[in-house]
Amino acid sequence: MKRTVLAFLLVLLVSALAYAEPVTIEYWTGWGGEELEDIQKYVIDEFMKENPDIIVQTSTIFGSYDKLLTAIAAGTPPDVVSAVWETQIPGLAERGALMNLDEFAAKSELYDPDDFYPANYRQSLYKGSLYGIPATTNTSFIVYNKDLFREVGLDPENPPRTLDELVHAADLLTKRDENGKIVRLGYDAAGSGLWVWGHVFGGKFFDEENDVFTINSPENIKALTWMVDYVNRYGGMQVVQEFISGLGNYWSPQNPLFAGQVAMAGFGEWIVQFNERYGPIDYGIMAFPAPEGGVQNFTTVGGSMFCIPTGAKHPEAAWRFIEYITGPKGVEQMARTLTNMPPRRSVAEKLVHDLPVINFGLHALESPKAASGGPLTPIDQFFLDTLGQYVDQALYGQLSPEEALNQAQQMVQFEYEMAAF
Amino acid sequence: MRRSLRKLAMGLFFVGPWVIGFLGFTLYPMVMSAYYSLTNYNLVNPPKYIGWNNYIRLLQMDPQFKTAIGNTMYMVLFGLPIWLFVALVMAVLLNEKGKLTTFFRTLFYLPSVVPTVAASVLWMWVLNPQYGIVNTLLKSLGFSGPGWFTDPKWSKPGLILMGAWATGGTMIIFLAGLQNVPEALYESAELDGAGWWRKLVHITLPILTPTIFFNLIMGMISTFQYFTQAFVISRGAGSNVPPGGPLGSTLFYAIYLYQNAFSYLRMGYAAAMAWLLFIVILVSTLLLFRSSGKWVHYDT
Repeated sequence: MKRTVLAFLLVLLVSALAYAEPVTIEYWTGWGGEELEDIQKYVIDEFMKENPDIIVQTSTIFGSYDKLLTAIAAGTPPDVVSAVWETQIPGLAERGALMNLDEFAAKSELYDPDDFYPANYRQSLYKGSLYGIPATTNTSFIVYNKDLFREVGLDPENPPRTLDELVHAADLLTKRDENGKIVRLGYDAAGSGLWVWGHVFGGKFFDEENDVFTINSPENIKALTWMVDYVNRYGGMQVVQEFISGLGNYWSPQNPLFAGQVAMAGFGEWIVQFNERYGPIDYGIMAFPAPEGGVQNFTTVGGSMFCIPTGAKHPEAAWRFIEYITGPKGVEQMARTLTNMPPRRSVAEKLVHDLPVINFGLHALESPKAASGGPLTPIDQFFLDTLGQYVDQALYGQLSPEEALNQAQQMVQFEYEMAAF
Repeated sequence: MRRSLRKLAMGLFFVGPWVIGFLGFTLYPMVMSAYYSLTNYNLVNPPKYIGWNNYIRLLQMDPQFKTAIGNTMYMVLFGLPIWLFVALVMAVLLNEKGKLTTFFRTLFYLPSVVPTVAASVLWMWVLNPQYGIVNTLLKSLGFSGPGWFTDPKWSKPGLILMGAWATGGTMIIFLAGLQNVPEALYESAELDGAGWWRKLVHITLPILTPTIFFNLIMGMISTFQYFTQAFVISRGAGSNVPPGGPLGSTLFYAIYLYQNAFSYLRMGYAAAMAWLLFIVILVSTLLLFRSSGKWVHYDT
């Protein structure tokens, strides 16, 4: 009798092991709304179909990204998170908030560092170790409204290639009412920020070799001087800001490009989706025009990184999900779903016929000058905020461009040394 | 003996929830934040003790900190008196008995019911330089309106204007105070030939001083912590724009504290800021209390 019971229990145990409950992993994403619904349907559900032993529970933390850190500090992080920008990797890795993925990657058949664009690969690493992998990336360029080009007699198939041509076009495209008030701005150059223009002018903001910030480099000062001059053509920052404050919500049909209130605007691959939703307008794409000696076809490289937070309960299952979604299949599906640039070359080359918008990125991303959305240092946010403040002071005419960048340099470098990483 | 023990146990049982809440959610965080203010703490790694360095850096080396203090003092010195004055005037007017008194009381209190974030978004458009109703009105009167939240010189006046719209809460307290003024005093003043103004200055206001004092203290404490409206408005629709603009003109103390804690992950630095603010509020309150003997009258 006793034996039968024992045998029975043993059978139970073995079958329980064989038909193990699927592991549920928690996934926090920065996507939301319709985009997330599509990702769920075309990517995440696909993954679960192929991997019945893993259940992915998705929740969005769109707009409240602070949550991640508090969750990690409280010891209750998700298993996978993709609401991490590329510029946050060093800060989070340095602070021990992310798991080192080196061992997983070494064993993986899907992860192939050589297939990623160099700029994307650089962003994955901190101090030589892997902490996050992008499933999508995006580039930056200027989108222009061809109808408005025609209206003022510019050739819509031949957009500006030099800074002078850009200024000339912007002047023609800017419209004022009878009181001299701007009703349409050709292009909001200041809005693209010094991070972009500094790079376009050939400047750098951080010198990795010497581990020191170079915010006040001569190229950056030249770029800021150009921005100040540009803004002053339209009556100064105050006047431009008043115009900008009247513009509608970016994520709506009132987006200034679609409302015809600006003729050229800094954009990314999401122009395709925006045009479907809020357009259509007849648009073209052009690179940021560069001065002589500057960087032609410059682009910033962004991307949501897939990471495993420290303290995740199911790192193995989490890795399998990441491996899939950043693998060839996942990346292609993500690119199709979001019309984003794929960070993997093989996928980009395959998709370029279906999605012409990635043609720009195909070349721009190969450039060694392609830059992240911010410095890859642990104080990226402090840098971006501080730089923004001092650039504003120059744009509003309170400081000379040189003085503004000298002060920004001093502040940021000081913080960098104080934080002592 | 046993009975008093039981009474004690009962008492402890009833105050228990409060005591636990106080110890766990007020005292403990305060003690910890005092400790964190002496450390380098980024939320994830354990805090590292660095002595008074956070305080030294704040007071000696941080231009943003000075900007934040300047902006906050502006609100305390100019915004708060204006808000109190507006609330007081509204209360005095709404204390007059008429057919529509209750209607108007409701009307003027209504803005205080609107959630602050919603109200801030609304006011972004009310004070929009291009399409806003205020500038449109000014224009029809022949003035060209200022840039409000786009102009560093006008952003704080814009916030003060917006605050004046939502002083219903203060107004209600003033109204309650006004109801306490004994009719007999007015009657005897009228017998002596006092008009509306003299009654206001010699009877109403003196009797109202405790209420004014209360509103002043509460208003000062909350103005030192001014946050939501400026945070919403200065970021506009863009979630990537750091708060405090244009040109740092709405970088208030609490906003800079928040940035340090959650954008730059300098929790120790933020804790030090919080303690400095606590000390400033404490000292200001004590000074007000000491001055109150000279101008607050408690005998009716």
